[in-house]
Amino acid sequence: MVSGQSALNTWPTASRWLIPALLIAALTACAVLEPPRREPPQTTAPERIDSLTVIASEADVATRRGALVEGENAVDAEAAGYFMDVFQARVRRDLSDTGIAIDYRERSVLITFPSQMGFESGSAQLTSEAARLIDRLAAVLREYRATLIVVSGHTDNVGDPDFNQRLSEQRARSVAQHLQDSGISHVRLLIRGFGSDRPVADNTSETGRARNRRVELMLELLVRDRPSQPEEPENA
Amino acid sequence: MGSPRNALLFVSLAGAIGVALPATLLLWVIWQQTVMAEEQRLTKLSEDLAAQTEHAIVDARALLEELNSQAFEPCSPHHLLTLQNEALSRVHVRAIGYWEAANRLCGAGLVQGQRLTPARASRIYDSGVIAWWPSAATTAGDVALFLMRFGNHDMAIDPRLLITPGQLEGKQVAVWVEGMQMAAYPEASVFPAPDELPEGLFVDRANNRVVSRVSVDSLFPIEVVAVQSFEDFWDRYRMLVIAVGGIGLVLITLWLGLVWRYLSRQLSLESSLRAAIDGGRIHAVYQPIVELRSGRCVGAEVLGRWTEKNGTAISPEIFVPLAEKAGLGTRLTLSILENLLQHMANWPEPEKEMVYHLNLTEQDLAQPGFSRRLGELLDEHGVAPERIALEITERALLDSDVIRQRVAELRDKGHSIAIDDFGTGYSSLAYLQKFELDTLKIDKTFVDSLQTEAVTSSVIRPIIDLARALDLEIIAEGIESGEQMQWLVERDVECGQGYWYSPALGESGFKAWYLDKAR
Repeated sequence: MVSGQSALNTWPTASRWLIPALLIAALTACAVLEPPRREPPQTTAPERIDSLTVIASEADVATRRGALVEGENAVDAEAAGYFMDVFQARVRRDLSDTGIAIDYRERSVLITFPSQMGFESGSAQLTSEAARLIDRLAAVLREYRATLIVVSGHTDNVGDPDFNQRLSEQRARSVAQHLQDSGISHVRLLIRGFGSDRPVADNTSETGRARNRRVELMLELLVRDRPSQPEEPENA
Repeated sequence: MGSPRNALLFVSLAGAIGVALPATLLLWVIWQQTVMAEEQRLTKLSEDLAAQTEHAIVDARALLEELNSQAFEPCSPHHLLTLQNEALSRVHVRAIGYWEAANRLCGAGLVQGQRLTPARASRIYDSGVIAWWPSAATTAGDVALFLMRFGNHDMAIDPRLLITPGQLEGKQVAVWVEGMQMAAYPEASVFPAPDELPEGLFVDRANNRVVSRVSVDSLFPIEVVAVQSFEDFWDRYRMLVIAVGGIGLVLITLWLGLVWRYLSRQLSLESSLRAAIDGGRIHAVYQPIVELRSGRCVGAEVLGRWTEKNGTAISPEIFVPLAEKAGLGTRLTLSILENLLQHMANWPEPEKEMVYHLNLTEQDLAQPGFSRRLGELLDEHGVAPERIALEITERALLDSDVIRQRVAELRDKGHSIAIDDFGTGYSSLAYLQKFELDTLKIDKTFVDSLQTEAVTSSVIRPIIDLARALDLEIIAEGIESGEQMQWLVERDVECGQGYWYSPALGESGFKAWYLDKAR
């Protein structure tokens, strides 16, 4: 399956971006002492679908959720518990050995990619390792369709806030784009960028800043709003 | 005086111990045996049940993994046939299904619908296996199902079929896996949770039942709780109890028999002795006392012999201590004395110069009446006190001024006083000096040592010297050889007795011996 993608397959992708990065590093030798992530973003994600070009607000998320719970992929309220249990089991089976933080909640699952794992410093380009992980996650999400996926980027508070804001948006977009490329409908995907506005750790220490540089995927269960149907009679 | 009361106390005590000890032991053994045997049976049963349960779970997981790994076209006829065959080959499997997320697309078996999608899983493992223990939420029809899902397949297990009622022998049993009840028989019964129970067997008196908990730790922690009525438990072990109880009763009988035999022997011996004294069956016999230098017989030690009517002779070593213990010592002494006096009346004239040594018991000296009775008897038979020497053991000398007073009185009447078995008891020189004595009898053990040159032989000289210093005549006891006699003669020991001269003889035998000697 998708999760079976080997290191050899991803090697050209990595080298394609490694060479220009090295070239730029050489050209801007005077800037070498500064953290490299202060470099302007090397790429911008291809803008194929409108929804991924839009940075969603809280209201946008609510609107989209409202639309999707009426749709065919949403689950009935009675099946919500069952769905979350089997969803969690599937995520555990496929992702628990990757070392990324996964928080199982009552009606959602929060997956946190640390940026140092997912991206080159200052770049919105996914590492091959991150790409493989997202492939595996996509395989799960293709089956568990009753979920809304809100991808949000976060940075630490070092450097220019505008730059951080843009970087967080672009990183979120990269992840969402990769999910879409792996077959997840753009309708389920929303991207948000928070810059350094929502830290989860203390920005005064390096470990704290490392924890703040992250991309979060909030996988929200879509529960159908209308009253539950009467239970279908059991076949005897 | 205190003797019958002591005997009674002893009988009661021995009887009580005789019954209580084996009975307690018996109860303890039976209980231990019963509990151990039952725990063994329960352990075996629990291991069997645990193995069946574990096998069902492991098999379910393996089958789900196998189904996931096969590249079925979902819900194709081949897929459905496979599911159906797998379900049919397992009696406890009620349904196997193929799922996408929370939707059951197809499957085999009779259970469908919401019962297969309970709201909360009991366990979600990192492997991706999810399990729902039997509960109201998994109840389809009358059966609370055990559900397991792995990947896109799931299985519903009827836990009732994990327990074969035939193997339970009437017990009620619940199987707990990972601390949650998996299966029970009968299903409706409510069982105490294993963590509330001690490991092993215990009797729940309040509910008149025997409850046990056995933990089996294999792949999963499995616990089996078994409940049986106390009557069933008892029925099973009645035969064992009867068998062990029989052995116990035999033991008790044996013990009581032994106690009874010992006591009755003691008591009957005592009453026989009493009868023998009263009936004059204690006879006087005589061991000659010889003047060593001349070989002339100068007297005899008078000893008691008890011969029962049927001819059985009872050793003085038994009846003398018995008589003292039973308070019959004085009667025994007087009985021997009377016999002696009868014999003396019949003996020829020359013999009348001889001195007869009578052994006194401790009781004789302790009782004021003895001395008087002794005088009366001698008067009756016209025998001078000088002809009756009294032998006292060292032990008797130990006691008080009263005893010393009595000994002095007897000596004043004309009796010579000999100290018997000297050197074996409480050889206190102080007492030797305090009492007025005439003769010292050296114990046989010292005379024996003259031949063997044992350590004690060095003791005999000081004894002789002591007797000389206190101006006492010496009689050596237990002379058995000429060498001993010779040695004693050389040291001027006056008199002696022993097998070298003669053993103790009956009346006629003594007369014959004496006459032979005198010739």
